[in-house]
Amino acid sequence: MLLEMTDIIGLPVYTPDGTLLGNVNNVVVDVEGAKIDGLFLAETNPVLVKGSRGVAFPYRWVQAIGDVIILKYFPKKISFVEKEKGEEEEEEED
Amino acid sequence: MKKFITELRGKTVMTNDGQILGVVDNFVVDSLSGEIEHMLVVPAEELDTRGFKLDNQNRIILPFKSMRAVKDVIVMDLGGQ
Repeated sequence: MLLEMTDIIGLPVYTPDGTLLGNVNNVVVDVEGAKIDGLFLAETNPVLVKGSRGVAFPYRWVQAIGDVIILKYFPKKISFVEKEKGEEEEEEED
Repeated sequence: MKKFITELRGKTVMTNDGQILGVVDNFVVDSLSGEIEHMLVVPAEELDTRGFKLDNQNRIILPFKSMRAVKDVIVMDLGGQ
């Protein structure tokens, strides 16, 4: 289905098991590849992402876009490990 | 190069010979593959839009693949147009 890209912004995103992840804030575009690289959510469900941190996930995780967005994959729980230098690392727990 | 869609909207679009076409309004994507098909450009007032493909809101439809450069402005290589 063809759609205008800004129509994606604001749509709610659901994981394959029906949990609401959050609403799309922005779309990441791969300019050379002429395709959508991923979707960015500034605020997320704390059940899925520790501390409701913002996440961007690859577009290949998207199953369908209609009135809502359904994902075909999302990690069970994302937490962040503070590194010594203060850098942060993503960690997935399945 | 990766860009947020909100960064690209509102940028001026010109051809590679320096003609200003207008301002980026939106992009048309295939929701299945995620591929970007077209760019929708609000034409500049002085632009003669005859010869361009327009949508129902009078926006110019340009193939995304014609995009050559994106910095402060977007440069399009439209070939014979």
